[in-house]
Amino acid sequence: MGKIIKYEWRKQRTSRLIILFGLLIGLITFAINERIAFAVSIILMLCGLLVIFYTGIESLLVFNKDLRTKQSHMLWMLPKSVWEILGGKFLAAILQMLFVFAAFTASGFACLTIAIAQSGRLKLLMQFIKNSARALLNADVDWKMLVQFMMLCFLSWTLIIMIGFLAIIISRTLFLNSKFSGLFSVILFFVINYIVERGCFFISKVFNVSALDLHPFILVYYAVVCAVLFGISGILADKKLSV
Amino acid sequence: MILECRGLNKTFISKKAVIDFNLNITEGKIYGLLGENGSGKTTWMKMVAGLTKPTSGDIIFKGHIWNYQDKGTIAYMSTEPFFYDFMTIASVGKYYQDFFDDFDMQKYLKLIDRIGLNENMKVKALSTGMTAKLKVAVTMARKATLYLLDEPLNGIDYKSREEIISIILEEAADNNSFVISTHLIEEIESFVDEAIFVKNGEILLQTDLEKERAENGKSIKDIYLEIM
Amino acid sequence: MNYNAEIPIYLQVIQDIKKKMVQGRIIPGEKLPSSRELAILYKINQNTAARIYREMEMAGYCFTRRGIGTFVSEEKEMFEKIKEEMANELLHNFMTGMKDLGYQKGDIISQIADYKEEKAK
Repeated sequence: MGKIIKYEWRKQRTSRLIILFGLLIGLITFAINERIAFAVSIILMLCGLLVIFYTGIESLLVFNKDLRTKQSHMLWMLPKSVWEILGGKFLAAILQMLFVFAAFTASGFACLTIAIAQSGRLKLLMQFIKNSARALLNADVDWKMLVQFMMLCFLSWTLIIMIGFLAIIISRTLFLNSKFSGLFSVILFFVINYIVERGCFFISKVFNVSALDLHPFILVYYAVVCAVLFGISGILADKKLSV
Repeated sequence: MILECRGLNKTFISKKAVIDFNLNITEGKIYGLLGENGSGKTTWMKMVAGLTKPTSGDIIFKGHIWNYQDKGTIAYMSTEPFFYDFMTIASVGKYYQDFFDDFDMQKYLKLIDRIGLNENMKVKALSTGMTAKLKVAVTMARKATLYLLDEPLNGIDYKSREEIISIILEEAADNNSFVISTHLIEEIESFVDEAIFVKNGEILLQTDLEKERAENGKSIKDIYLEIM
Repeated sequence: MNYNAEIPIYLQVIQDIKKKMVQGRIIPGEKLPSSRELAILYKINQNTAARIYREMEMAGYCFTRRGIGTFVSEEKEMFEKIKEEMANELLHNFMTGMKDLGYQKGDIISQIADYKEEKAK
């Protein structure tokens, strides 16, 4: 599995390099020109949103390309089960996400440091760190909420990936290599997504909780749906998909 | 017996690609799989290689029902180029070494050199002929029990074909088998033990070529023209 | 080697080896290639290669020393015999062909006497 992840990770190297390069340019502009620093940081943030969105679905694009170009032979000819292949793809996607988050967080801190250093008030920086640390230690933050929220984010994203995998596999099974396949998987993606959301709506009614409430039921529901989708994807890929 | 297919079918939504294949592959033999494009040769190979699953029927590999771990001793080479764009010839070898226990890196490097390729070449920049040679080299650097070569001579110039055939014959032994699909029948005529003729998804004939020549005075081409 | 696709490959290879023996390109007692080497040399499979040595051994053209390899017969007479056989075969085919065209033996002999060898191009 580790080796599968290694090569999946390698497939997304170009985007990592582009992201890092972009961030570096941003940081340099930020550092050398105080006047446009504010504008730069806004642009960085906007780009950040775009990049995170793209990174979120990049593994789906890679998977679709694998199947379209027959590079999928590289994975399917290996003495590995389909679970390892799909699992490897998913884990590589998580790693990529973590990498991008880490890169953005690091550049955020770098911006902050530069800003404070430039205004010559190192004290302020120390103060800021101290304050943040205190705030965290004093548990001013609702930890439970935060964890739940992060889990929800992770699950929602996992759900996107799982729906995407399934949509691509169904589409490539039905249409093999026709041009229509890519478009159909996008349509299928939204259809499955709609069904899952209806399910969520239904569950929240049954248990009488608000979907916006971050109720544990919702989390469990998403987790179960992800697992089920992954299961269906795996079985379909194993039994029906021709790569 | 290395491989046995019993009542093998593959139906795609729009067509029946393989219909009731019954086929035995024995150790120490080289088989020629012959038929027009779209006759079901590739689909059959992909089923044995695990790239697509049969709709019905059994694939029995070395006495047990085929499972994905058997891909570790089945070396399949597809017609389409399939290496990742970012790879170099060296990293293609590394990839095979990472995943196949039967891959011999030393042999790979020797073969690469012999067919006039260089480790540092980028896969993406290779010509059709070079990619075709690379596919054969990396596949033949495995010590597999069953080799499935889909059109190994396609795109390879006349002079290099001899070399490719030598590479294949050097690896052929008592304990392995080869299935070679090709439309260049005359190129493989002298070294194929048995020919399997396929048309419209069905096996028309599986026959021993020396026997055909001795008993009926027929060449592979004669048979081809007669039954296809 | 160019094969006639309608004649068993093993016979054609044996014929070729015999010709080499007669021409002196293979000498008495010489070690022959292993069947693997033979396969590659003649672009044939292992089974045909093995059969070639089996048939040749049965005919007494060669013998196998276990674990060492296959060797051409050491008997000079064997080479002579092969040469005679091959010549006879050629002659036989030639005569049959000529007779088919309606020539009698006498005509053929005088034809041969008058025959001018074409200059090699």
